[in-house]
Amino acid sequence: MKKYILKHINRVLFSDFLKTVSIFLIATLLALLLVNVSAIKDNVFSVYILAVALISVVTSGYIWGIFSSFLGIFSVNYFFTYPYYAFNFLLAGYPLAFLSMLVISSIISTLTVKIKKQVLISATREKQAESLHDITKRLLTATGMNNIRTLALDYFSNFYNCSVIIYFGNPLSDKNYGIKSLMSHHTALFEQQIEQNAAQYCYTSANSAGAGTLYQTDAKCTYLPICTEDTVFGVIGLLFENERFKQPEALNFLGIMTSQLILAIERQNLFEKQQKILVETEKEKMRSNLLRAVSHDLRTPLTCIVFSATTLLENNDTLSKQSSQKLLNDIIQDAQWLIRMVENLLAITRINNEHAVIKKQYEAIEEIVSATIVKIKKRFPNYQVKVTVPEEFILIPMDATLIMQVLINLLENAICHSHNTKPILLTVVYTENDVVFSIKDNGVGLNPYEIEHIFDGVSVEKTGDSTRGLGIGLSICKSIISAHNGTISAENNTEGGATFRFTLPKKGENIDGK
Amino acid sequence: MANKFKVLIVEDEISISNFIATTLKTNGYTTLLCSNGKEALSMIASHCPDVILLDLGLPDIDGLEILKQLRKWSSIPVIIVSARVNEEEKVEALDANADDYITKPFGTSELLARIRTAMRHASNSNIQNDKFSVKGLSIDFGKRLVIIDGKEVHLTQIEFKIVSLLAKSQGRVLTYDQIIAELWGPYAVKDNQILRVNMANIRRKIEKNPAEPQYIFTEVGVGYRMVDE
Repeated sequence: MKKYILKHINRVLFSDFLKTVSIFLIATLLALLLVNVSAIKDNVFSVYILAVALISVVTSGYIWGIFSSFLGIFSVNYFFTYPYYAFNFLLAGYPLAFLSMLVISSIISTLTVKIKKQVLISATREKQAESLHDITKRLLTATGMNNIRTLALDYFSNFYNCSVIIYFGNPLSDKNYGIKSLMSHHTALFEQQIEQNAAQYCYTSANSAGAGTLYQTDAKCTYLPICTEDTVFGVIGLLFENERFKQPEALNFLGIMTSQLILAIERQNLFEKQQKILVETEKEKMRSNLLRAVSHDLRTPLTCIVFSATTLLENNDTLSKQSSQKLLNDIIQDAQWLIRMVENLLAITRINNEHAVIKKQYEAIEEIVSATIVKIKKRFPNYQVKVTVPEEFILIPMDATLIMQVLINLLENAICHSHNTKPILLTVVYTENDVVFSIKDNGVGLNPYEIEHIFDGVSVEKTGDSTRGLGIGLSICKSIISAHNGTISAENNTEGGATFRFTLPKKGENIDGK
Repeated sequence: MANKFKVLIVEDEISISNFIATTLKTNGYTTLLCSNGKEALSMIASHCPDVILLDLGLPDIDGLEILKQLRKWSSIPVIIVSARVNEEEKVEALDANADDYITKPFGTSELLARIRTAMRHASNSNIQNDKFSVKGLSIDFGKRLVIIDGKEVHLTQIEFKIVSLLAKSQGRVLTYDQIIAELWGPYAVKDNQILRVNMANIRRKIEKNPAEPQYIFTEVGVGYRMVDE
């Protein structure tokens, strides 16, 4: 790096020298030409002053301007004053001309240098303003902490041309950081214990730490806290290859960029909090819906069981065999109904669990369907279900128990509410992104008024006992399918009966299995 | 009958064990009852039952622990009875060499069928003269032939191994890991994807409708089972 800088400086020096010499030569030739053509020597000085001005503009620093003004004086003396082509500094009035030319050229070069500096400063400012504007705009639209961090990493690294690490939260305990590294060995350097300690100090004390600061100076990077007056959000670490990080102005700008970053972080935090509240409310709503439905759905069969059993016990002698048989059958049916209810409730606890990411594994559609059919056949040996699944074998991410519960609920609905014994059609087809299950019966169909709210779990009270369970079962189906990012719908067939349809995405997130 | 089969019921809920005992007695079995793990272990040692019905949720020792201890010295058929529903536990119990698993609530006919299967499996009577047959499916292990409704079906080496493995444990659920270990050795990667693809191919060859199988059933999340009787 040092060698590189030296080389660079040499190259600049050399090119400035070339420029100076060539401009000076041109000016001398021009002056000689003028003198030869017009024989008037008054313009010679102006030509040289012009040359000095030009040289000051195109070269860097004062040296070349002053150097060229000396050169001008000498060449005027040599070429254009008597004796020609020889030096004579004892001419009358010459010191004055010499001095005036020196002063003029010095003033010109000073001015141009100043202007150049100004231009440079304003260019830097513009670059700062532009990147600030850019980062602000990009940060405003960024969602998710990781995106925000990646954006900030890119900007800081681009702007300062250095490697950057950004920690969100406590550097040592949270280990939640991102690195943008310009050199391959920088990543490992950032992860060294000494660097992490400096970052940790920066986080806990909210002071800058590391190289070039007052604290933890043995670290190679410079760490700055991302903080407001009362909260520290994280730490930015900058790693420079050479010792450039000393300009206070650069630090100022870092402060401005950091405050933009803080704004973005706070906005993201708020957003997440709001999202969480939303999910909580949704869950709360589902839970209360469920409780309402359950208290209704459990009470009825329990009442029947208690009533039938009491009747049997108390009137054992007087009941005819036929009627006691009927009561016993009722008990079995109601108990089975309760079993199914409990299974649904278990399904709900599976999704409603506090950390409610359902556990998906790759499952074969045909295996899920066939296992469901086995269960259904055990409960309803007299009903027929015609199953069609695609020939192609694919695995879909899902919680198998929950999807089976959905299929069971929908098939049971079809069996219990279609009021006939025609076979029910269970069909699975693949579309480009989804697997579509449809369950079609030939029953009485749905009340068109109900279709819209059929999955809301509220239709129970309106329709009363005759359709008990329809509400809760379907609302559970809806919850399960939503948790799988699928859709569920119901419609009446044109030829009679109803069709329930649900989809599951072929590709899902959060897959645990292989 | 002098040679009644002896069933040990390990269950801490009196109502359940009463109901099971009544059912079994009316179907010609002798029953032994006990309600905790320590008692169970000593009763198994002293009475040598033919079948054990084991509840996993016992007050003193976990049912799974009893199973593991028992398997160190005995291969008495054990049927796990449990109200817990997650598949992991089923798999764990089956991998610890339980013979079968039945989830509460269950019906009497189901219970009796499972007991029959477990006992038949213990006596290995489902395979005679190196041949196996159930419904329209018959397997000749010596000739490596699988015949469905009189027609020969061509299976690959692996497919035949899977089918015959399931047939030899007819009625029992074999977990994915058990099948993988049998087929590819105990150190094979426990990735059931390959097994499932093989299973899908087998279904397409031996079942009329792969979604309504007649011979090989899926226990979702657990494994596969060859149809009984």
